[in-house]
Amino acid sequence: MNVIRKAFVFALMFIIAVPVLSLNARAYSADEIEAYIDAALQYRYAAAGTENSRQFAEKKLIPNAGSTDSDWCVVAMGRYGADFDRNAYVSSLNNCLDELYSDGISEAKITDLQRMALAYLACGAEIRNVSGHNLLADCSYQRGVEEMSGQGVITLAYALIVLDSKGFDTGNSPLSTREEIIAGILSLQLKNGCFSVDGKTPDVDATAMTVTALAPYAKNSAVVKESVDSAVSALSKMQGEDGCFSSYGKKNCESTAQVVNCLVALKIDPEGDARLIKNGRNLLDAMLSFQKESGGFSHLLGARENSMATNQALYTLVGYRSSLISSQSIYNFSDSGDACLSADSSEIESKLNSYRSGGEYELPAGGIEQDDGKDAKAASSESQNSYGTSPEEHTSNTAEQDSAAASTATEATAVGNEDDIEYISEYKGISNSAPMVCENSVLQVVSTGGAVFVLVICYILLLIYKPGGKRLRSEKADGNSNAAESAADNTRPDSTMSFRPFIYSRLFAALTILIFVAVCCGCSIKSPDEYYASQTASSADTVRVKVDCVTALDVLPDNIKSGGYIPSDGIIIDCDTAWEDGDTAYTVLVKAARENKVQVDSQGAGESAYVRGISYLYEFDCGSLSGWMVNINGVYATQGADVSEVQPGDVVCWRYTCNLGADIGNAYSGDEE
Amino acid sequence: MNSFSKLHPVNLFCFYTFLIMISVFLQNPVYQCASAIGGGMFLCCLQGVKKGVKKISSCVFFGAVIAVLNPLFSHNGITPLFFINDSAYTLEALVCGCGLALSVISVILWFATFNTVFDSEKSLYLFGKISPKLSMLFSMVLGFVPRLLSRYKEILSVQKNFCKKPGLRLYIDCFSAVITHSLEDTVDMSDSMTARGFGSKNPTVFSRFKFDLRDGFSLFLFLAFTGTVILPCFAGGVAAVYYPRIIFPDITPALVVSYAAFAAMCLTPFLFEVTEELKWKYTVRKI
Repeated sequence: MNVIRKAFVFALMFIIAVPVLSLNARAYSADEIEAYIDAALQYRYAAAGTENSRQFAEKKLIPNAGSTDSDWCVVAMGRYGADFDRNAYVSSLNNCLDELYSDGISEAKITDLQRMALAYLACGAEIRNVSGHNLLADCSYQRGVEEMSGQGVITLAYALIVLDSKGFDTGNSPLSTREEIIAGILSLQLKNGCFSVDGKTPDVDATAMTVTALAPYAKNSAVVKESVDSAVSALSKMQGEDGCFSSYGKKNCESTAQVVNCLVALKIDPEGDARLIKNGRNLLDAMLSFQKESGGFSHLLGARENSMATNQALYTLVGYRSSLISSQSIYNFSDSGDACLSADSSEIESKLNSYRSGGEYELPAGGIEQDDGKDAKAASSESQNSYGTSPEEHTSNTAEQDSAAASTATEATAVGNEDDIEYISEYKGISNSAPMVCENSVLQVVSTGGAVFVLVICYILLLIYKPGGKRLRSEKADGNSNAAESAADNTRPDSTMSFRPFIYSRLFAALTILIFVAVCCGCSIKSPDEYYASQTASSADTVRVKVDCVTALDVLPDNIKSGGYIPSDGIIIDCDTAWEDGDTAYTVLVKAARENKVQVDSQGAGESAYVRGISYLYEFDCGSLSGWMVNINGVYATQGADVSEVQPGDVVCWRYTCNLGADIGNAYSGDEE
Repeated sequence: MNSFSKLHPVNLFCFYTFLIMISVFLQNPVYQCASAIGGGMFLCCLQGVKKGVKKISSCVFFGAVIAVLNPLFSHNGITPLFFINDSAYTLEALVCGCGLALSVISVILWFATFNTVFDSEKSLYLFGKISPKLSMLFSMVLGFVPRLLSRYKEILSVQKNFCKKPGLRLYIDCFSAVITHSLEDTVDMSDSMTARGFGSKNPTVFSRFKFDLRDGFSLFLFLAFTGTVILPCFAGGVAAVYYPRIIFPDITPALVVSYAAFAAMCLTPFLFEVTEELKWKYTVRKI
């Protein structure tokens, strides 16, 4: 019996010793996503000073129709089914479009046209005949591939997206066919699988947007599939440890949102795909970490809400929600939901070969280098800016094809169901050989739950475990005698230390109250509003106060940097403040800070006054030799800041040093403040 | 009574070391709350609810003072509540003070139980071989304060009842008597130890502690708990940031498990006592 018990215990110990605490990332339901969307919309309404979607559209969107912000917001709201006057928006868009056309269609405007086309679609309007213009043609197939790729790969991607939004036909004599556009996109792919804005630097946004556009073609074209595969694995490598993606070196909401979009387009579950879960955080976790309490999203973690970030997150969430409930993505505008897309695989390949060999026209490796490098960069970044983010829509198409393709097949060669399924399952797996996603997450849940369960069981076992009958009995005997002893102990008055604590005495209470009253009387207590409102006496004489931390800009700690407390140029205060008799470098700082509502943390007064931090930037934040120093008219003070008097017209410069003053021109160090 | 202290000294020492280290070094109020609550419950078990609550309440008072005073020295934080003499009294500093106070309270409470659980015999056993002199000193110091206090009470009660002395005079006399008594005692003790040959040769140590299966099991659990608690720290993002804006770590499954493990660890001594008590009552009833 004993042996069995021991064996059991050891077995349990062994099980805990190999705890598989690989924790599962969180899964979101459509309802939860809806709550996030509503919160973000509420933020937008409130930020514009309105209460509901109608008012918001009237006040903010319709007057600004045709702007990046309004159009993307309308795409999200339209697809979400929010209530607003769509006709009014369309007529406002018409005016904007007429203006564009009146100036003549120039290259740079194609990005605007594409964005507006999506806004039209979201309002339920026709885009092949917009006040006499064929908007669809003008922003996609009636443009040459060369022309579009000159603006960067994103323009091509959006042309494809708009073209696919309702499965539009490319017309009779297109300047570029679907196949040519796809081949054009593929020819711009970098060697590592990424796409880029400038033709050289891999860029998350560009890659995600492009993959979004290509996704529907991946299943019946080997070339496209290969390209999409390498792009996704490249994205996986670019993901940060917390699940976020970065652009230009900064983790941001938009890049993360774009990758979610691209996964939805690929029918990959953004919550479950192990390639894109880092440290238990999936992409949605990462994206939602940018959401503030107000519901808005910030561009950088911890920063303020930002309209572009909010828009992109908004339509990503809307797209994800609709993919959950109807497997229809945000860019699928076809009513029946079965816009069939087809592209001739062999034609894509032959076009691609000709582009690569430079047969038809020159598409240099980077695609855009044909222009002056800077211009191209500007144009493409402008185009990216105009999109804000990219849409995709084909995504849903693939799924719908599963069920509906065979019946409808009007314009396209529907792909066999078997192929579809194979394609989808391949993408869902961790890798081609690994188990399916759903299985994988179940495994994780089971292993996590199991490990916790085992721990709990062991814990209970330890508490009730009897290490053999003999020992127990002797223990009990011990316990008994000890109890008797302690009972005896308790009869003695001095068995343990039990002082009457000082805090119970009346003397102590009296002292406390006295101190409290003294503090209240001796101190001036103001509310923050009162403090900031209290004006310093106005006077003709002024002192210039400058506070900067230029030297520390590159080495700021993360929480300071992301909080937005320090302006990007590092100049915190630069103003004139009234001079009063007896002012010192310290008092003028306090005055200037109060006028500018900047925080100052100081201690002591008189000779020992010491400024520890200004605007939440403290001494030692940037190394052990960092701190604030003051100079008056360029001469660093040799005494305390509160005893260095200033005269009218003086310039008092508080500067942050990272090296005891050596980096800000203080010859003799050691005399801080 | 006190089945927890019947664990092997090594276990107890590890337990206290890990626990106190975690409550001091992990700047996260959840850990500190769990630690303080666990410590308080165990203290109540050991010394009785009445005495325990008294001690805890004085600790809480002490903690509250720390929490309230902290913002007077640190003006960092983005939410000023009010300005005292033109210095901000901020919410963040107040919360930071609460965190500090909790950590201090938990350490005080655990050390209050440490005296009872980890008696001089155990410290002699643990450190006797490494450094006999140090362990002797350690056990003497551990015993000194309680002895001083009990002696003080003894003298005080005698003086109170037999010599009618005026208020303050009584206490001063008592104090002086206790100090004299203790000094005398020390001289006595050193004499007696020299007479018994202390320091002449390495002392032999006898101990009645045996490391059995139960001990192994509990040591393993303590280690497992500590491991589970500490593991997420290596990934970062466990500590709460108070300045300039309070950022509590994101709740991740790993963090929740870490919290749970630490809570379980803190409650272990208490549960030991309770289960032992229940077992005992059950056995008695059976008779």
